[in-house]
Amino acid sequence: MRILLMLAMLCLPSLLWAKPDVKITVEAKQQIVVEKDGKKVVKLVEAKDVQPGDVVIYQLHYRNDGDTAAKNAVLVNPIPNNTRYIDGSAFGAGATIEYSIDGGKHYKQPSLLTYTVDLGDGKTEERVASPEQYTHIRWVVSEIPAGKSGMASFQVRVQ
Amino acid sequence: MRFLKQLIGGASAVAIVAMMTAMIIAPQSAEAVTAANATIKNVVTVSYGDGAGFTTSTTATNFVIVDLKTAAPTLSAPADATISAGGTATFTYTITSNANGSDIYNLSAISTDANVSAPTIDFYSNAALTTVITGGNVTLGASDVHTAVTIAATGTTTITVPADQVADGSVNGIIAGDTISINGNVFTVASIVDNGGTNAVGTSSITVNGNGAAVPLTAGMLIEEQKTFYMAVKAGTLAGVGNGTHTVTLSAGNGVDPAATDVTVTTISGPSLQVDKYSANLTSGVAGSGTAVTVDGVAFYPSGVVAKPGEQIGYLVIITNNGAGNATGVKVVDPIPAYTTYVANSLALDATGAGTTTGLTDGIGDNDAGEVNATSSEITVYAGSGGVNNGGAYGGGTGGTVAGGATSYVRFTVTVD
Repeated sequence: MRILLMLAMLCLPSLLWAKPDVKITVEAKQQIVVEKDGKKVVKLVEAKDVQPGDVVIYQLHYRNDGDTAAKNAVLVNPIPNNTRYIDGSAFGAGATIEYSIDGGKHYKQPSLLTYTVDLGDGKTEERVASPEQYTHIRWVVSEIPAGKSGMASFQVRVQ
Repeated sequence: MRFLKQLIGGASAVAIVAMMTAMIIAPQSAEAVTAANATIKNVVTVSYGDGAGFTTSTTATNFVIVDLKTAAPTLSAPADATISAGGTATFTYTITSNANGSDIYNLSAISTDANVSAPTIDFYSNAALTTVITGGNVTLGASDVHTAVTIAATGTTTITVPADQVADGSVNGIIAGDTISINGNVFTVASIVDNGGTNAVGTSSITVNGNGAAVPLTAGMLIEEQKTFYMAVKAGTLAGVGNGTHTVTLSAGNGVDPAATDVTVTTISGPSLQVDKYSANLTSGVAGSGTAVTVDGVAFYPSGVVAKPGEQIGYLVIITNNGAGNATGVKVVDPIPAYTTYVANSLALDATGAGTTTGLTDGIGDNDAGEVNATSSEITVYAGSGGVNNGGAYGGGTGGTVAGGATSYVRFTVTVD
């Protein structure tokens, strides 16, 4: 009982502290072409069932519901299983976008993402990674002011 | 290497080199196709600081289910067939899925018929033709290889596949005992582990029996169920002399994509009569040339038989049905050769080519199979089985039947003038 009391005392002040509170949601969208007034219009709809070869657009919505700014917010999104990242599709206003090809251990911008191939004769060769090799994407947002929201997105092709 | 070390911030460059090399050596196939009912799970994590040293993180998750991507199946192309009238041609087909999940394919056949009435066409799932494929619908399952693996030539090998959305003991319609084709290699399924369930992100497995050769499989290769079925074409009725054909176009479609088709030709072999005339010198017995045919103990020759005036020449008319169908209404009409005189009541018939004839009388309409017209100096024999000169007038009788592949002999004798 004494421990519980101590825990309660520890927790109580923290609730009173002003702090950031970032919420995030992710949506999967798909482009469809619909006919409207005899014209073909591209619409974004929720992707529920997709076929191999289809493009899925993931939208990451974040919002700071807290009362102080969130600092150095980092959104990390592994490329979903059974999909491939589409080159140049990652977007995030005000965010620095970086990629990983080693399962999220290291992140770099695309032109700096290189890997080394062992040529088998004692020599190695450095190559720039292609988007299909990306395993993770991350968005670094230096600050999310209180009450503000933002969106990041990227696209994949279903294999 | 120094650059790489800078790049990765001092981590073990050797380890990274090894990892990246492995990535390049085993790339996923560019044509990789994900199985229907696989789950695409996306998890995003956001972590942030409060400016005072505390870091918090939270996640959001989204599930998308891969849908069926329909495709026309692959049909095999069995060889054409030749049957006799009233027979049934059986074509053995394999049908193989090209989709990424289970789908139903409807079999239908259209026959274009020449010289024969329409056939009866049925589809069976067994070679004994006892189990009809209900509604002509064939269901084929499909999945895809999740992790590269080499199928051992012998014994069993387990292939991991994406889990589907239901735990029902099958992987997208593939169950133990099924036949599957992967990249053109055919295996039988020994067992299944089904870890399916709503939004399942794990794997199920299909264990196959080796097919005698080691087969490497790469991730993303489609696993396609293959079934064997039998199309039975029961011949229609021949409309005239000669062969008839049923040109059957088989279609297997899923109602979405253009159907797979195969065309077979079933030839119904009709009757095909050949007539040869041999002779023998019955008086001298002198041999002719060529290969003799012996009937009633007499050797008849295709050529080279000579006779003097006053000697008797025996003629043998050989009617051969080279077709498979029965020749009906067979009637042999033969003029008495010039410079000879017909020997009365020398007509004889061997209806079935047994090698022994039965004598006939010359009378017109006397209800046997032969008659002689003294005016026009010719003979008529209603050859084969069942022929009779019941027409009253000369030449008005009913021809006999020579069965497919059978022979009938007609004999008569003349005296050289």
